[in-house]
This record gives sequence, C-alpha cells and structure tokens, in this order.
Amino acid sequence: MQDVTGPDGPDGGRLRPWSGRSPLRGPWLTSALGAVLLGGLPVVFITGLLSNAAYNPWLNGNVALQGRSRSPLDFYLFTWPAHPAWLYALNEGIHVSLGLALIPTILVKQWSVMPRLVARPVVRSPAHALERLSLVFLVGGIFFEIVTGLLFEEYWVPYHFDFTAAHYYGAWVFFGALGLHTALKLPKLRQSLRTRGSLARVLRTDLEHTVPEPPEDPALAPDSLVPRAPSSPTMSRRALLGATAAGSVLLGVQGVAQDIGGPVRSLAFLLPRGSEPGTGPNDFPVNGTYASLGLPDHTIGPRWRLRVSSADGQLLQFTRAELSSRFQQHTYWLPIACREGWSTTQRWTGVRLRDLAAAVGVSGTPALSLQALDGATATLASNQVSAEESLLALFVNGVPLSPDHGYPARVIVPGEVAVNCLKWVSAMAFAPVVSA
Amino acid sequence: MGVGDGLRAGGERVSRLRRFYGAQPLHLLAAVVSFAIVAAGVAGWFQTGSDPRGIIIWALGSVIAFEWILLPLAWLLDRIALGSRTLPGPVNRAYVRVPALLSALLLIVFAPLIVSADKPDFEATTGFTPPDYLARWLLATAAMFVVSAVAYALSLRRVRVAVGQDRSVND
Repeated sequence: MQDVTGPDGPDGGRLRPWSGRSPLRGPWLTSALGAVLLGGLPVVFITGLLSNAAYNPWLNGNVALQGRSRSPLDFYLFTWPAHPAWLYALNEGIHVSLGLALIPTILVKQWSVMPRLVARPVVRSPAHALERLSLVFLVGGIFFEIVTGLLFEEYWVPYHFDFTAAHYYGAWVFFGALGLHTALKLPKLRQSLRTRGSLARVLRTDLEHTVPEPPEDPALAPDSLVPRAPSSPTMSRRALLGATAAGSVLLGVQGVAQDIGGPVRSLAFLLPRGSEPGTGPNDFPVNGTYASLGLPDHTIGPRWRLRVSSADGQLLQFTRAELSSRFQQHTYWLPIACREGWSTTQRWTGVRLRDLAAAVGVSGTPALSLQALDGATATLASNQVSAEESLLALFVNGVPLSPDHGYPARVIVPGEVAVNCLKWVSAMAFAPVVSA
Repeated sequence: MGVGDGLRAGGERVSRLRRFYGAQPLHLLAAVVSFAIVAAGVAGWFQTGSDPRGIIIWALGSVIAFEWILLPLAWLLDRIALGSRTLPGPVNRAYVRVPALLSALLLIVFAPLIVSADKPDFEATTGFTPPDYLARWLLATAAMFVVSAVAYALSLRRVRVAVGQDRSVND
C-alpha cells in the first residue's frame, strides 16, 4: 500500500509543529471560513473598482491610474453619478470597513490550511503545479492588498511605489487567482459544509465535546487538513469562530465609525479619523494642512484671484469678495468623502459651478478642469458641473473656510471622491469633455 | 474512417491529456483564464512607472512574515505561556488565548500608529499631533482580558452550581 503522507508531514510535525496538529483543523472549518470570504471579498473588490471609477479616471488631470498605464484592466463603463450625495461615502465606507472586518477571517483561514503549505509531494501533476502556482498569487495578492491598504490608512509610506496603482492591480492579481481557486474548491466547500458538520452544532459544542473532524479519504485528499495524530483540544471550535467574529467587529466598527462620523466617530479609536479636531465651525477632519504645502501666507491673501475661462478664450478674474457679492450664494449639506474611507458632512456656502460657467458665457453642460495653488489638478465631468449642489465653496457652517479647509475657495461636489474636490482653487477652465 | 472512430480518437486524446495533466481539460481552461487575469494585473504593476520589485517584495514579504514568522511566533508564545500539550484531558485555554489573539490582531493591524512610525506625515495630513495610540491599544488589551476574566469566573460558577446540584441530587 502506498504510504500517504499526512498533514503532519514525514517528520510527524516535529519540524513545523505550528502547522499540523490542531484538532480544530479540517475541511468544515476551512470551508466555513471560505464561505465568509466568498461572500465578502467580491464586495470589497467591486467597491474598490467603483472607488477607482469615482475619479472619472478617463478625464484629463484626474489622479488614479490615468496617464500612467495602458492596461486592459483600465476600463470605465460609466461616468460617476453626482447623486445621491453620499454615494462615494457609502461605497468607500463599505470598501474599507468590510476589508478591515475580513482580515481576521483571512488570517484564521490561512492558519487553517497551513498543512497544505508543507504537504508532500510538493507537486503531483502539471494541474497540481498550476494550482500551487496560482496560490502564490492568491495569498501574495490578498496580503499585499491588506498591507498596502492598512499602511495607506495609517499615513505611513515605507514603500516606493504608487499606492493607488499598486493596490488596484494587486486587486486584479488576487481576483484572477481567486476565480480559479473558487472554481476548484467550491464543490468541496459545499460538500464539507453539508456533510461534515453544521454551524448550529459547532456553536453548541463546548470544549469537552470538541473532537477532530472525521478523517478524509486519503485517496481523495492526499493533503488532508485533518491531522493524523491530533493533539487534545485546548479551545473549542466555537471559541475560535467567536474570536474571529470578535476580531471582525473590533476592526469593522473602526471603519464604520470613521465613515459615519459625528457622535460615533470616537469608536474608531485606533484610526487617525477617530477624533474631531475640535468643536468650532472649521473643526472637522482635515486631509492635508495648508502649512504642509509650504506656501507663503500671502498666496491666499488679498492678492488671490480666481481665473475662470472658457474654451473659446473668455477669461475673467475674481477676488474672493467679488465671488461672494456678485454671485448668488447657495448653501447645502454635503459630505467630504475621502478615499481612506472616512467622511464628514458639513454645511457649505458658495457659488454654483454652473453659475460660474454662465459668467464666462458657457452654456450647456461643460466639463470643468480645476487647478489649485498646491499644483493639484482635477477634471469634473459635465453631470457634476451641472448638479445644483456643486459649489465653489467660500464658507462652511456660516464662517469663511479655514486655510486648512481650502481658503479662499474650494470645490465641493455631491457624490464625488474628495481628492477631486480641490482646495485652494486658483483656476477653472470650462471645456467640452476631453477624454484621455 | 467513420464518425465514431473520430470520436473515439478524440476521446483517447482527451484521456491521454487527462493522464498527463492530472485533471480535466476544463481545469486547464479555467487555469488559463485565471492566469491571464493575474498576468494582466502583474503587467499593470510593471506599467505604473514605479519600481515593481518593491511591489513584489511587499507581496511575498507579507506572506512570509505571516506564515513563517508570525504563526510560529504565536505558537511559541502559546507554548511558553500556557505550557506543553502533555496535560491530561482537555484544558480550556480560550480565556487567555482569545484576548491575547485579539490584542495581537490590533497590534499588527494598527502597528504604524501604535509604534508612532508616522508622526511627521500624520501631522501634515491631519493637522493635529497623533494621540497616544500605544496607550489606547494597552487599554483595549486590558479591557479584553478583564472581559475574558469575568467570562471565566462566570463559567467556573456555572460549573460549581452544576456540581452542587449534582451533589444535592446524590444526597
């Protein structure tokens, strides 16, 4: 009879004792965790793609991937809508919060399949070789997405690549590999969940009654997850699942709290956006202070002018006082929604973008290219320019904007990612849509 | 040569492929599609204008860090803190393990803030000095151990009550 090497390995688990003998390991546990990820990770993936689409990357001057890549994965099927106003805040809140909440499940699932990592023979057939190669991209991909996402969220950039592009393509690397993994494992996942146990029973089983899963047929599962010589249990399966769920809640709540903001913001006690800077009208979260630009103070002093132009050469300049006296002022509650997954809703007052278009003689629905004092650029799509709530804001919560929030003037657009709502605006050019 | 012969020859080719490849042709098709998407993603990394070696180092490095450093380390700490497995019968270590694991999770996930590796960037971005995340993490850790200790005390009491009831039945 052929000797089938079990998960303990030829050395009986002595060399890598952390990878083999837990009595909790087995196809049911791995499948239960896998089912959670199969439900959750596609949502994180899709909200991630939508987050990228929210930049309208096909418009000139917008960040994201535009101009840096000619990949077939850079496709955009639609112009990002301007309504509802909380669209981006919701999308990004889901992306970041669910991504955070799934981390414990990913780690525990990875732990649950450790015997596979050290199984022998390393390769049984060309098909098996492809599967194992695919796992390098699957596991490497998801860990890359987690690590880069977390570092970005926590303002620490120890690496030398562009986060947005690397995180975007990393998602495709992972998702390509996940497709194959799902196709290969889904039948086993369903079968294990049906025949090897039920969640209700696991949740009723205390430590004393915790037993290893039944052994797998060695002919069907040469790299079995159930250990041949399991150690005696030191925690129940429900305690492991409970710990995983508690970890998800601990992390997920941080993400939800920073996105909802207001009274629940402080629940994000381990994230940078877990506190409001103060209680004044301008004391809501800032992303990029004026001081950090290193510009001299007079740049935003009385000599500041806003240059507004049209495609056919019309050019007007406005002082801040002219913007607030010559144009009708409008006030709307709108969120700033950051791609880091936090948002803050404030009461903005200023000039409608479409009124500024009319001032330089542009009718219809033009796109709008923006320039800011810090060199930032962005282009808004025509649906965003013509939305009635889209403002060049001069005031927030009844007082002039603070320098950190974009004084003398900033753009605020409903439903849009905050990166495209430039602060410290210096020039606006209305033009027909120019695609990249 | 009839149609049946052709089919039989085709079937033989398929089964020969299956023997060599180790799976059905559909497996190969799925693998090709999957690797095409993966390859497009990797190619994207190479087109971003930044050094793709850094990306690959971070992708593989984080896997190695988890599977070959963190997991063995957790196993080792578990052994040191809770003793070897030679104890007779099941011993419930969940009341120590679960809060310890959750504390470790928070430490790993929020390490950049907890060890304050990012102060200048943090201040330039948010406009305020970072709060003491180390203290917050320690407080959260303490709270989780307290909750676990209370749960343990309650479970002991339940056992004692159950044992007491057994005795009174026996008496």
